[in-house]
Amino acid sequence: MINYVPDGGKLLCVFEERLDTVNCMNFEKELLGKVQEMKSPVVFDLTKVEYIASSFLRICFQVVKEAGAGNLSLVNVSPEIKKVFKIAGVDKLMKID
Amino acid sequence: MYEETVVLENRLPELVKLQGAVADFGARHGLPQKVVNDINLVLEETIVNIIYYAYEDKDGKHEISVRFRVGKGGIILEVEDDGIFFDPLGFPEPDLNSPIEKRKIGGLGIHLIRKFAKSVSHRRERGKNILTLTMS
Repeated sequence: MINYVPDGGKLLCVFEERLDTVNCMNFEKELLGKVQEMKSPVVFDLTKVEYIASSFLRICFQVVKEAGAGNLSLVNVSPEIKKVFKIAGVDKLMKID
Repeated sequence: MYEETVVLENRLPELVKLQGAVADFGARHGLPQKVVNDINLVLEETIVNIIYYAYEDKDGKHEISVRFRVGKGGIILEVEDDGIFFDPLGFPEPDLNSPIEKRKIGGLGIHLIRKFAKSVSHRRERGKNILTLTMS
């Protein structure tokens, strides 16, 4: 489940669950639809996220391609999740805090 | 050596069953959550690839078995499926240095399997793929 929060010209997406293959499959279309609709920078808040799979990395890819390089930021990312991004070699493609 | 097996159907919703099995295995052996997550990740990525690519009959029902073993060598996971020959190690590594416009989205799952498992090996036996993953 994702909470979409308009945030001063940005689209803030607060993720509430594990970002595994099945969950990503369930929200992907809606999320990408909102990114396309808003045409603004996107922020993913991963405060409540303890696990991601490659499906989530793919969604981040698609958001960067849609919103433009430099327009996707991830905030409140745990060290373990940062490690997954780094190992996948995608940490340089988006801002991760 | 301790051993247990869980059998899944070749459907993505079965990953919930996998998650439960990994959590139980982790609790039984007092594993830290980080290790449980790493085990779940390599198994999830392996099984998703099997579901998507291993079967010529896309709607056919197949079983995928996951064996958990704990021994002197550490944690050993074996994933067995009856699909076509599929060795994930035969796929090239993604190009991690190319810009986003040229990056291919595919291959990340296999890349994560290679990096999060201490070792990965594939063999084909009796018409089945057996992928063995050793975790630290």
